[in-house]
Amino acid sequence: MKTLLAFSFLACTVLQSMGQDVTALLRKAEQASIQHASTMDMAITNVKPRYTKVINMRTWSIGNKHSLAVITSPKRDSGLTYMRAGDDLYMYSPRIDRVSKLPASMLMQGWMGTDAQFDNVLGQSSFVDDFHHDYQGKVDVNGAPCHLIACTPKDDVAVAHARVNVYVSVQHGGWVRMQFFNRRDQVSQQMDALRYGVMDGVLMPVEIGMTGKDGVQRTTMEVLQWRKRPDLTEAYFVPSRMTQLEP
Amino acid sequence: MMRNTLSMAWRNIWRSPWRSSVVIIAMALGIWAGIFTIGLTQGMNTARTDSALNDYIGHGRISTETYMVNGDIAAYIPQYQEVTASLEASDQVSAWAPRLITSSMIQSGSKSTAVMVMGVDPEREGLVFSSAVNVVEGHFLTDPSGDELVIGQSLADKLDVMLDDRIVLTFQDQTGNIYAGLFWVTGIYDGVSNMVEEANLYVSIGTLSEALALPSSSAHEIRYRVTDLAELDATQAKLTASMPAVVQLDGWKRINPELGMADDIMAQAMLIFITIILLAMSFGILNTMLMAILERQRELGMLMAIGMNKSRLFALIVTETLLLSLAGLPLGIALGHVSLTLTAKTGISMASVEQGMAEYGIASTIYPVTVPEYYLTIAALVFVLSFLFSLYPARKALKLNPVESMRVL
Amino acid sequence: MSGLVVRMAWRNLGRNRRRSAITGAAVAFALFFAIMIRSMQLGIYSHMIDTVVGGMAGYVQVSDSAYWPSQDIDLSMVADKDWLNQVNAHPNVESASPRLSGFGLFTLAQHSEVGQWVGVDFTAEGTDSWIQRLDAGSYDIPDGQEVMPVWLGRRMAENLNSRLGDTLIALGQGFRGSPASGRLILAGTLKLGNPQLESRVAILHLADAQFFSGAEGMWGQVLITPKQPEKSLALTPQLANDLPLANALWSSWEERMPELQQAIEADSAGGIVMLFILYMVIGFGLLGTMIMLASERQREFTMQIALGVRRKLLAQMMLLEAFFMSLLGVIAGAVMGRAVTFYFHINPPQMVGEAAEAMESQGWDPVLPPSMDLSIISTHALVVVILTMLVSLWAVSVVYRSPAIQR
Repeated sequence: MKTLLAFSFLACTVLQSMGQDVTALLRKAEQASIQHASTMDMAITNVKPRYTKVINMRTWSIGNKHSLAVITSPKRDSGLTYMRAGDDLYMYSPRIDRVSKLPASMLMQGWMGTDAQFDNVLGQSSFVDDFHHDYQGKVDVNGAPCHLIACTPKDDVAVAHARVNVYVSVQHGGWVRMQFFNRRDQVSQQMDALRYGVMDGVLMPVEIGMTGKDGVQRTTMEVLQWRKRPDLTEAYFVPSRMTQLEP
Repeated sequence: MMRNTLSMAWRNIWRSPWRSSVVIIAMALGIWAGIFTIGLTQGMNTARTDSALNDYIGHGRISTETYMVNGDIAAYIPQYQEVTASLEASDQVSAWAPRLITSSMIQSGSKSTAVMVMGVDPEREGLVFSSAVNVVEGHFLTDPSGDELVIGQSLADKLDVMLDDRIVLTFQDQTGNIYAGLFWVTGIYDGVSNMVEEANLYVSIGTLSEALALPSSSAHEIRYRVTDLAELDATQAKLTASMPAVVQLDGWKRINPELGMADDIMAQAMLIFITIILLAMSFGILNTMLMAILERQRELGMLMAIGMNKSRLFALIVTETLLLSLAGLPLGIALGHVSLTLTAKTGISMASVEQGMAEYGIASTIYPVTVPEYYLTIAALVFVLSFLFSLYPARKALKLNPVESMRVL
Repeated sequence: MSGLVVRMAWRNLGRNRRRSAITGAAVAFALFFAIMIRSMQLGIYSHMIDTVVGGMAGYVQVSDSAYWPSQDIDLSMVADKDWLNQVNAHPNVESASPRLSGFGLFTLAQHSEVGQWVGVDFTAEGTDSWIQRLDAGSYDIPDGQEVMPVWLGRRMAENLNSRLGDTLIALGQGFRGSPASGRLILAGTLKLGNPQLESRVAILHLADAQFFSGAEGMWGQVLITPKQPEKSLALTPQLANDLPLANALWSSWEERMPELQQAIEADSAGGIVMLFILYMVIGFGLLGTMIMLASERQREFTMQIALGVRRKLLAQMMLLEAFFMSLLGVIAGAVMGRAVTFYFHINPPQMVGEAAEAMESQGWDPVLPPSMDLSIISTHALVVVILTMLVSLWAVSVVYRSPAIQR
């Protein structure tokens, strides 16, 4: 989620001219986002042919490497907690009262049956450090002109995506679309910023659509509330915290 | 005297050429059918054993006793370097491949099932097993510590998984933690029995040792191939002597006893079948002889009346019966051998029951093999059975009252 | 055909009793072996199907139309109890039981096993069959409690190093994206006659399974045991028609497990080839007997023809004689065959030694109960009679070839 926010900071400054250093701009934007430790309430709606499921959750985060998410509804899943602390990933289930450590590779896994991945929920990997960036020119998305930046992972980085295309609005500078390509150059996931809003004084996408590899948009993430939490520190993100949260 | 009886018996047989020909042909056909069925079944068995050894068993296995008993993932092979060094040093071992094995839950989308995860060395695996080579889509593992995964076609169909799809494996590591890891399908293998395809999937051994929290370069098993399968026991004995005492070596018959026994069980079943056929045959011959005696009552009575002694008469009837049965024997064996030799080259297509054959781990074309080791057994069986069945008509013949007999007709 | 011919034929049989007895015995022998081979073979198949299908997979299964082959828990069906009552009341249905299943990881301390959890409605299925399967423990634990009782296949329980009363942790794929997790109390271990099942299956109360996976009010499938399980394939469309359920897929085990069905067919084909060989051999034996019988009576034929008896009448008589003989043989063979299969039905032969181990490790109980299907007897009796009649054509040809004038 952090990265989604990160791109909103591209808005004012980025890419006025094509000659600019794209990497430097991405970095600047990411740094801006990391400045804000925050809590957020959000709703993830998953529409499947047979059912529609809404998951509400509350998250705490600093930067894109520390994040904690606890599910508040539906009742059955409430209390289920996921946490990312640096490269470590944890899950806590109140039913068995046990914290399980998950490997980092799980970040790419679909989260609770939705088209969102773990890292969409728990902080995305950095586009700045791990990717090469190529400016590809202007493209129209939904009738609005956008800059297209192609990000390809650096050789030594184990990233599942072969390429990520980021579309940045010329008008407001926020990202409007991200396309994730697999090794066969097929779109494995796509995210669209459906709506922008201002939360606690920050412009951010507040409704995001997720499209799976079959090309159908089934999952939407909506930011219900977002607040700056300058008091949070990395020490907050320890496994024992997971067992103490009230859903 | 003996010769006399023999030639007399032979002449008696051909007094009724139709009848005797029918009996002899029946015997030949019965033996032919029996031998052909044995050859066909053995061909099937051989093919199944070969493919099982090539696909997933290998010729032999090295592991610890503890691991064999309870499959404890912590019971990996100690002194791994020493073990592999002595494998390398042996000139009878043509290839070896280390494996880590754990049972795991596999999950793709909302579908999940149980599998065995094989952590293998990408380069070595293909030298020992064909499943590493039979990749029909994509490629086999390349990265010794990557997140690549190779899955069987049957399982891919069941889970609706395609190349480049993501898959989650969930299992417990050595320390008791639950591990759930994401893997990418880089290859799909096929052409192995469905049972294996649905059960086994492959990841790199480096990745699995890390996931199981085991030391790097550890293995639960090492499977190997030998240059000469017939010399397996001797090779194993040599290897055992050169290895640390904690490891145990098992040949394929120990790894997969039911496969090792399949030949024996099949052979027993085949012998029973042949015996039933020969019993049926002998019954036919018994009938023939009984009737022949009734028919020849007068003649036999005359022979006895002119002083042929009882034991000679008994020998005559027994010889006749034996000759009748044994005449078809070489013909049947020859037929069987020739038909097996011919079909061994062309193969017999079983396309109509292909799926069922795959379930058994058998290819859909069967190449029968010749079975000379059975010929002597069959000959002995024919001899013994027809001798036993000749006793009754021979005894009947003795009971004929010479004078009575002559009065018939 | 006149009564005279029948009487003549019958009297001829009696005239040379020994000859008739020999021929009849050959027929009886043929039928006896055919019955034995086929009964044992078919018996092994139904034993196999019983173990594999009857216990856990169901002869007939009703599920959501998209449920197979993935058995995705998301594609479960909505529980419909009224419909289930109708199914149970259907005259062709012995029992119907809903199930809900999925895969999970079961852990106890350092040991873990991947298994298939299956939610079973004990009251609907009748506890009798489940009590038979109990290896240790009991079913005497109420459902719907804070902790859930679980009954593990005995090999799985062994592999987990577990004891009755231990608390296992189960994790798995739940319904519609929910992770399934829970604590399970080991209430018993089960023997299921199939090592694969015994090392994999974890039985829960249906209600617990629904709670565990989050699939409340759902069934994965409904298993139906028909009154005549061997007619499952034919019965399935009829049941589907009589007991309509929206968006349901009805399948019999043959459709769901084509490999098992084909493996049986392939093996059965092998058995039929063997029978064919046996019949061939027996046919030749009978032909030998018949040739003799005809040649022995050639002089008699010649005389009768010379006396003005029509050849057609003689031919009819010979056919009738053969028919009577085969009939006597068939009766004797059937009685023998039935007696022996009945004996083995009461005392099924137990395999011993290596063969038994091999069979057990393949998943079957090492017993060989013969099939008691009467149609085996009637089918092969018919084959034997036809075979005898074909062979007796030789005698007919002899009748027509016999010279009219006595040499």
